[in-house]
Amino acid sequence: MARLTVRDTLTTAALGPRSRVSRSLLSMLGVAIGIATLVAILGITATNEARLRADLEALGSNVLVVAPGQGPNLEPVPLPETAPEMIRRIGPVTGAAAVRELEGAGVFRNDLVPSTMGGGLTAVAVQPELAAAMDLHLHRGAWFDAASVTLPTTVLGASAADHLGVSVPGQRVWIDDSWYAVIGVLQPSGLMPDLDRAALLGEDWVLTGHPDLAISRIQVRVQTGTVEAVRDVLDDTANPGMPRAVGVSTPSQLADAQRAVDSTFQSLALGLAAVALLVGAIGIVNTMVIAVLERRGEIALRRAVGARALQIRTQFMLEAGFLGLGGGVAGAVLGLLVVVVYGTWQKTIPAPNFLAAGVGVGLSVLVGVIAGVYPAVRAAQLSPVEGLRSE
Amino acid sequence: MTHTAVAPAVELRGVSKTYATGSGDLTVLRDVDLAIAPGEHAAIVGPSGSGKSTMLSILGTLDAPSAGEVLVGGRPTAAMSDGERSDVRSRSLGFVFQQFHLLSHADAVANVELGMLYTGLGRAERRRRAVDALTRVGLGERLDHRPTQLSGGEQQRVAIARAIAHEPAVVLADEPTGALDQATGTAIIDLLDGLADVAVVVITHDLVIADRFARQVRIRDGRIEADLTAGEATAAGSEV
Ligand SMILES: Nc1ncnc2c1ncn2[C@@H]1O[C@H](COP(=O)(O)OP(=O)(O)O)[C@@H](O)[C@H]1O
Ligand SMILES: [Mg+2]
Repeated sequence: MARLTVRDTLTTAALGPRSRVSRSLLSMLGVAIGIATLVAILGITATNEARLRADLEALGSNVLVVAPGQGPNLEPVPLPETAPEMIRRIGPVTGAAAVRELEGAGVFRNDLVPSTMGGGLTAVAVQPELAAAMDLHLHRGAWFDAASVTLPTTVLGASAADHLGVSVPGQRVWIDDSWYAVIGVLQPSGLMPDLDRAALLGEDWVLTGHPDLAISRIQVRVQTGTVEAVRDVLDDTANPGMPRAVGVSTPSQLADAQRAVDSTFQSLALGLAAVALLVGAIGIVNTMVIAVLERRGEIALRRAVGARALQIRTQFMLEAGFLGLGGGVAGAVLGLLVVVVYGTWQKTIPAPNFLAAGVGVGLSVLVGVIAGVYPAVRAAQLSPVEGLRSE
Repeated sequence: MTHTAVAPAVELRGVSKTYATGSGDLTVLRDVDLAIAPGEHAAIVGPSGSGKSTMLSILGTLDAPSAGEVLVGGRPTAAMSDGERSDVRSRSLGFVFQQFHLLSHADAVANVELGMLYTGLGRAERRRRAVDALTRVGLGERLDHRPTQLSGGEQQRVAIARAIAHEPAVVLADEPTGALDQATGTAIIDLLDGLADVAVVVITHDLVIADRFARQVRIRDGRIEADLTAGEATAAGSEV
C-alpha cells in the first residue's frame, strides 16, 4: 500500500542531485572522464582501423609482389622473362608489370656533375603496364607509350624531379651515362613510395643496352578478395620449372603490424578508463556519504512521515545512480565529439562507436548505484530521533 | 480498556526508557501510562530534560521503549516490522517539530505533499490535499513560496499543514512554539488547538501554553506527576 510509484521514486531520488547542482556536477566528473576515454578510444581506434582498411583497399590490399628466390643450393634464381606475361593470364589478375633496378646507374642533372654526387636517386626500367597496374598518376607530361618505351626517355618520380630541377617535360637529364628526355613527372604514389625518388626508364630501351638485366620484381594487382587464391598459384605460374625459387609477398603483413600497435594502445587506454571510472565511483561514494550526513534531518523527517528504511535506501542508491547517469551521458557525448573532431582533423570518416556510448551510459548508472550502496545503507540505518534532533 | 468502547488514538502502557551512557544507564521514562482519546487535545508539560521529547518519539513510534507497550489506534506496535510501523506513521500520525524540518529546496506545496508521499495517495490527490491543508492554515496565497521566503510562524504553519493533510488520528507537536516569538507562538497554539476531528498532543515546557489545553499531563524526571483537566490545572497552580 505504501509502495511508491516508479515516478514518485524517481522524482524523489532526483531531488537531491537537483538541489545541489554544482556538487552533483563535480561528483559526475570522474565517471564522465572514464566514459569519455572509453568512447573516444574505441571510436578513434575504429576510425584508424576503417581508414587503414580503406587505404589498403585503395592501395595495396590487392597487390602482390613476386621476386626472385633461391634455388636448392641457395643460389639466386632469376625470374623467367616470360613470367609477367604468364601472370597476366591468371584470371583475377588485373595487371602485372616487371621492374628492373639498374644498380649503380647514376641519375644527374647533366654530364658535368661528378658521378660521386648521386643524390640517392635510382634508375629503374619498367614495363608500360606498370602505370595501369599500380594506379600511377602523372603530375605533368605523359606515360610511356609503344614508341617512347623504345627511346631514351624517362618519367621521373616527384622527388626525383624536384631534385633534378625538372619542372616541365622536354628537359634532358643524365642517366646511366647517356642523355634521356623527360616525358613526364609522377604524382607521389602510395602504393609504390619507392618510385618517388626514381627515374623510370622504358624497359625496351634499357634492354637494348643491358640485354642481361634481370627482373627485380613483378608488381601484381588482383581483384579484391582474391589475394589468397592468386598467391597460391603465383609461384607455379611465374616459374613452372622451379616454383620454390619464387618469393611472393603481400602488404597485409604491414597491416597486421599496424593493428597490433593499435590494440596495445587500446588496452592501455581501456585500463585508463577503468581507473577513471573507479576514481569516479569513489567520488560518488564521497559525495553521497556527505549528503547523507548533511541530510540527516530530511531523512528523519521522511521516516517520520512514513518512509520505510528500504525506501530511504532505494532513494539514496538511485540518487547515486543519477549521478552516474549524468556523468555517463556527459562522458558519452564528449567521447563521441572527440571521435568526430579526430576524424575531421585526420581528414577521414569518423567511426563513432554508439554501442560503446550506450554501454558506457549503462555502466555509469551501474557504477553509481553500486557506489551508492554504502551511503544508502547508512542513510537507512540512521535513527530518526537523532536525525530530528540535528540541525 | 474495557471501559471505553473506542480504542485510544495513542496509548503508552507501562513505558520505560533507559539509555546506556558512558556513566551508566540513564532512565528517562519510568513506567508511564498515558492514553490519548480520539479527538482529544492535550499538553504534556514539564521542565527541560524531564523526558517529554523521548515520550513523544515513543508515542510516534520513532523510538522503541525499553519496557512497556505502545499502541496506535489500539494496535500494539512492538511486534510490527519496520515497514508496518512506517505505514502506521504515514496513515495515523502527524508530526510538528520545533525546527519545522521543511525541505529548503521545495516550496510550501511540495513540502506538504512530501508528508503524503509514503501514504499511497496518488499525485493529484496529494496535490489537492496539500493545497487544501495550506489554505486551512492560512497560507492559501503562499503555495509556491520556499521556506526561506516565509517567516518562522509561516514555516510552522506549513509544517502543521504537512502534519494534517493526510487526516491522521493524532498530531504530535514537540515544542512547536520554541523557535517563535510569543505572539506568533500563540497563533500557532490557536491553530493547533483549533484542529477538529484529530487528537493533538503538544509538548511544551511553558505552563501558560499548557493552560490553553483541556488536558494537561505534567511530567517530571520521567514520571507523570499529574494528569489534569483544565479546571484541575488552574486549581493546582502553575508550579512545575
Ligand atoms: N540518545 C540518548 N542518549 C542518552 N541520553 C539521552 C538520549 N536522548 C535523550 N537523552 C537524555 O534524556 C533526558 C530527557 O531528554 P528529552 O526527552 O529530550 O527531554 P525534554 O524533551 O523533556 O527536554 C535528557 O537528560 C537527555 O539528555
Ligand atoms: Mg524536548
